[in-house]
Amino acid sequence: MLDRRDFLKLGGATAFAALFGGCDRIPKKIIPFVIPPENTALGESLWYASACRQCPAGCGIVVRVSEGRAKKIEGNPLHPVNRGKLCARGQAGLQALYHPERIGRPLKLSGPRGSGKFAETSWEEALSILLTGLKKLQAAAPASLLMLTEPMRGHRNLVAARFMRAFGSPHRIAWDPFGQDALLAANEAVFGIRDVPEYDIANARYLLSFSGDFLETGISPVHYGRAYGQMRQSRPTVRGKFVHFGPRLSMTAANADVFLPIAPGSEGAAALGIAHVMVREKLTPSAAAAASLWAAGLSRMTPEAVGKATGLLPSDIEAVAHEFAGNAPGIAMAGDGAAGCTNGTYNLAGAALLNALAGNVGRQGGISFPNRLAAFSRFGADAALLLPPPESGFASVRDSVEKMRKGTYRMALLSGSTNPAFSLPAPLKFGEALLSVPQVVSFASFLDETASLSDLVLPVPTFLEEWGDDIAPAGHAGDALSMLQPVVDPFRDTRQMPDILIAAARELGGAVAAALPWAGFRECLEKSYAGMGVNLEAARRDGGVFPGKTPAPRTAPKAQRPSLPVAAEAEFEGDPARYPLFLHVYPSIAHSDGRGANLSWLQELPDPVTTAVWRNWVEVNPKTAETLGLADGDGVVVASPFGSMEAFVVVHPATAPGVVALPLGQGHTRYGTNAANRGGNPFSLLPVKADRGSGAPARQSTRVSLAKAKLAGSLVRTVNVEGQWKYENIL
Amino acid sequence: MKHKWAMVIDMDRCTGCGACVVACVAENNTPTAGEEEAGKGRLMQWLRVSRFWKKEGEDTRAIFVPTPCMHCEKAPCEIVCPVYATYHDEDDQVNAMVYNRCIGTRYCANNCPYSVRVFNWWNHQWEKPLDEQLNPDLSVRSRGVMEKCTYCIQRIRRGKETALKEGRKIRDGEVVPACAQTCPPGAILFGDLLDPDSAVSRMVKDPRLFKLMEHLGTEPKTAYLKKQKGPGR
Amino acid sequence: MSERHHLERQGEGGLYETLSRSNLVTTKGWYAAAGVLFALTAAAVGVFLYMMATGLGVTGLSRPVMWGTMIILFVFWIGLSHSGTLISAILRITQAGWRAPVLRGAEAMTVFALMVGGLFPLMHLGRNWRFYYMIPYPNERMLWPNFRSPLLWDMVAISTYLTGSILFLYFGMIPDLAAARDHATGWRKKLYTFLAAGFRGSHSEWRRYHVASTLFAVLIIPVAVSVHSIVSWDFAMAMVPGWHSTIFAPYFVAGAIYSGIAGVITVMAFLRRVFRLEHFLTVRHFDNLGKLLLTMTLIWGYFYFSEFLTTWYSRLPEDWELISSYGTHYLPLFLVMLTCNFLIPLPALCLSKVRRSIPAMFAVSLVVNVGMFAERALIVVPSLARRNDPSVWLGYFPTWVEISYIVGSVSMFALLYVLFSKLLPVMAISDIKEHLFRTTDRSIGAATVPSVAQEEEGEGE
Repeated sequence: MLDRRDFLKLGGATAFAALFGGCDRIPKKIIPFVIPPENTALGESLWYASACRQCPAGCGIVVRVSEGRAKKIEGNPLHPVNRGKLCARGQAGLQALYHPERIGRPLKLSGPRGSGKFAETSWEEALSILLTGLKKLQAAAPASLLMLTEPMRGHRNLVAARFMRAFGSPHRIAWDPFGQDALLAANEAVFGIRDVPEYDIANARYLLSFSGDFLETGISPVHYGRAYGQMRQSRPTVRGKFVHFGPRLSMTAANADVFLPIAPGSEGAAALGIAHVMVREKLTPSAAAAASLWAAGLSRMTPEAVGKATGLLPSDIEAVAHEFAGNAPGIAMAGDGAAGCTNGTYNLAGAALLNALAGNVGRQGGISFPNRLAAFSRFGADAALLLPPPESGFASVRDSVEKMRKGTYRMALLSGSTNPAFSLPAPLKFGEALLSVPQVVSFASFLDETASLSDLVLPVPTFLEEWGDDIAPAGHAGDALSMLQPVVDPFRDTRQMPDILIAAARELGGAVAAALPWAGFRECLEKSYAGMGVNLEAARRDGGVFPGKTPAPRTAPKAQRPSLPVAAEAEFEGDPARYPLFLHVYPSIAHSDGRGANLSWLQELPDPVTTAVWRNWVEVNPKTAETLGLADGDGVVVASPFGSMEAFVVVHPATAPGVVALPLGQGHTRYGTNAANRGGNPFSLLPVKADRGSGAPARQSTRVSLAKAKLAGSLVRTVNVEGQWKYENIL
Repeated sequence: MKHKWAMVIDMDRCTGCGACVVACVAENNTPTAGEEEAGKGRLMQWLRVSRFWKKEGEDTRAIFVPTPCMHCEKAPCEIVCPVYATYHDEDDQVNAMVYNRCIGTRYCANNCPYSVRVFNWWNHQWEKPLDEQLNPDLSVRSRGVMEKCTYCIQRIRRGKETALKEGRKIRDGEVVPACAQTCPPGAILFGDLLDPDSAVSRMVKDPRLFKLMEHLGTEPKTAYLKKQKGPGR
Repeated sequence: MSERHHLERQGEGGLYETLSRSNLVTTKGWYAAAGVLFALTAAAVGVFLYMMATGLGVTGLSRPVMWGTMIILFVFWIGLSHSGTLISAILRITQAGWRAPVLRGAEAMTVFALMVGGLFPLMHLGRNWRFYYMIPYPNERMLWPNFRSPLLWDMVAISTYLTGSILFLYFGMIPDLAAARDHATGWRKKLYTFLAAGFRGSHSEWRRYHVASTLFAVLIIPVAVSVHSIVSWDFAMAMVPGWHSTIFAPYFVAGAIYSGIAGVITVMAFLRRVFRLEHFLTVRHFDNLGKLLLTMTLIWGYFYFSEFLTTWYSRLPEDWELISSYGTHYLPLFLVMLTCNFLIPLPALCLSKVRRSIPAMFAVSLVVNVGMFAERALIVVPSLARRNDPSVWLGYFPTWVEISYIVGSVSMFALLYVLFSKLLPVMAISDIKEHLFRTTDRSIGAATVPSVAQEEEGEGE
């Protein structure tokens, strides 16, 4: 009996072992705790203040540094632009710092130009190449030096500008695809002041936006995002209303109380329609006094006529006009979608006119023009170099491409994240032209499309390893000065561009050396601010100088008697029969013009509206999709008269019919594994056209056709296409 | 010192921008899944902003629902875990995950009606030197374990330690998770419900307050404030 | 030819030889079958090791479909295991006269199906090597497993059932092992001597054997019922639309018995053919099993209908999302289930022609289990794929890894059966013998009358 029992035990054990025996394994690593044991002390970390350069908004940041490594970026609570808040792109700055594909050593071309083949070299050799080139040029033809950068501000810009001036070349160009040229031109036309206004959204009761995606891209998304939150819920009895006009339901438009889809490029007409009602019915004192506008042609902008041009219901125009006039203070603003048309200035001037008619200029909850340069008066003429107007430089770039072809330039210095070889319309053939410049030196952290075309790449640090200063273009009273400092030791063997320029100037001697009389960029900053009486230590601790007393804003000379914008219709390239759909391109919230595309956090950040990740898409209205026989997720070839690209269809229920929308940012051919080969580049579809009023690039200026195509892979969206209609289920 | 941490998300402020998502990823060492894995529904982000459409046709509106862990008081995920890898933390009243206890039955994820739990399908790697960024306050999770939003428990603990060192109570707003910290429009509010003066305690009395799938009786501590309509209140 | 006449022509040794044919003769076919099955099983094990080394990412699982093929297979095989012990126990208790040839095959099936099915919950763990955290053993952390978790109930129930079923199988085999011991030579003799545990066939031994086997049969029934109830509670206890249902426990038990009986028919038809047991497994057995299967078809259909009807009628939003997906994304699966589980077996089994045709019964039994697999898939996957939050909805399709588990589980089950048939008495020899003796024709004077002998109830010790 005992035997049998033993056997049964044994049998059971054997069966058990047979089931589980294969799984036993010694773990190779210790799986740590989310809640550490009591006796584990958390290490102390330090927070350093600096400023963000992930986009031109210039938010203040604080960076958590632990054991010499940057761990987390947060908004600087003291900084007036963002008050402790930060966007996704700012957060992702860490990935640029620790990017595996960062250029760590100077690179010398090792194959044919444009092949992207480079070999590492020493700084000594790289600098001697640069200097040899510059010296040769200085002796022969100093005017044949081109410097093409992103828009720079603060002393960085001062150094670059002085260098070029002293060197003797007038060819200093800053390219920004999202420059505010149209806004500047519109404000000049309407108010007589060529500046970017401050929008006091937080205190507004009514906000009208004409394709202004101020919450996602635009001039200062974090600042306006924060203000938007305050507008909605920070006042005990007032909740600001937000009405959005535009051809596409963007993320910003999705937050509006009322979204009114309009035809592309008709933002100005819509604004003037509202203005017409305001003046006709004398809804505000300013409108009542605007008889001259009426005579100048506003009388023709009846709601019916505007309705026909925009696709709006005349009753909607009337209603919005009454609400806007009746809910002071209010703000009318227009953004990139409106500015990027061939009639961009007209569109933006329309919005500006509404502010004037509603009497919103210079009042709390309205718009104002801060005196941005007041704090820098001691710089005299150089003050403007510290905060250059946020222009696109499109005309200069086009001109420079011509000159490259003609052989005007012997040498080009390129820098910055705007990546002209990627972000200029393909028909301009910038890359091809650049290859005809005999010597091209890039200051870059990553081998993007532009840097790949150069002979020599000098690695520059990311903004987290830089000395510098900055003045944000919007979001403060004009006197807030940001200080950048390296929050960590330079992680790679890099040198800042101003440092290289100062060192080169010393070698070049003469006027150039005299123009940049510092040992390095840090000394330049320190001397300059010491001269201004700035306590640099405190400024670096706080992330800048943020005086409590705000300088008086500038007065807008024409605000009381604005002039009527010159009517202009948006023009679109392409035969409507062959290219039946309007193309609306917009900067993606994660990648902007494409500079964020190499960061995996941003690639994996679902687009707010389509929830797509890692790839390009084209938004199509359901009715349009139906007529074209397209379904959600289908591959298509988007063709314009200038080029074509592949994309996946996202059926977007709130895009205006007849309009297809494409996000910018993807479609890189270089720029690292995260960015390269993820669909087509929408810039390749665009014509080389400009806003007639300001010369800004007119991206919304072509028609396209869609043709179904079989594409490899599929579009990944984080929301289920069927389930996205069932919001009620989660309530 | 007991706390009852809670979060209130104001949908009238939320713009859907996704800053919270990246802040969470940066704070919590969340790996990048990559395109292919994302396509298989294996994004590792702890916080998602679901975008719903309301009504078809002309009146279509998008609605953004940031969805972190709800830290339910009657959490369905807790009871089904056979090994207590997820449990209710008594001091902080949060729904905690113990990674080294988890054996990966994934039952908790099935029983979570909010589908906020993410599973480590692979051993995720950080391509060097991206690993230099990793937050030293919390671990990198290995293959086969479940993870989810912790209300940034490491920040809560740090706040408690600081308060203890200084011999005081935690001040309202002193401890904020990464998402709430960064949220540009200030849509995410975080605080202690046991502190009657905290902003969250005030907000949970707002008539706009609602919770996701309240009828399920999970008693979520992450609550929402309804989007308002029209001008004025 | 009836059993009776068959017995007349054969001595006791002959009977043993016929019934133990599988043990005594090793054909090339056996080697081939065992080889192929072993290869397939080994391949699946290899795939599992690969999955264990790389991660569950190699499956088609995702958020929200965190459970997939492995759990489907788990439920499927646990369901299949209900054939055996339960049928055998019920037939033993009810003293169904035709039961004898069915018993051993059914009991063995239970054990093997459980062995196969029980692997899957462990395989599907993210960290399989830590499975023992679920076992309540004293440890330095003073941590017990969470007894509120249905998974723990599950583990307890299945290990109990596995232990019970192995004992049940073994216990019923003891007299046959004794018989085998008496006939065998060599290593088999040693093996059977050990396994037979000294059973000599004395009167007292037989008496104890009968009492114990009845007791066993009575005790195993609640275990069997509870096991599948608990398996159903893995689902029903969760607040997942489509899972959270009070009917799940009886419904799962019914489904389990349904698929189990079909499984028994499949195995019986197979054994009959391969081991030439035509004399013992007769048309009558298949007819009876067919009637049982028909009953279960109706019961299953009733349960499914009543579960479906309440959900459909009340139209709770979450439930409705699930039900409506049966008509769209999961329509093929739904149709397969409905056809194979109801529309085909119901009319077919009503016809005695079908029930009395062994090939037809074999086909019907296979169809039923295909349908049951579809049913399990339809329970596990759509409910998860259409969770409460519609934004995360996602489809699921198994990858090659999971498909190899389907193949591997079938081959492992078959392999275990093939090995079993080689090593141990595959037919319940003593039960058959007992049955035959009791129904033997006896000569009384000039007449030959069929005699039926029955032990009297309540005979003293």
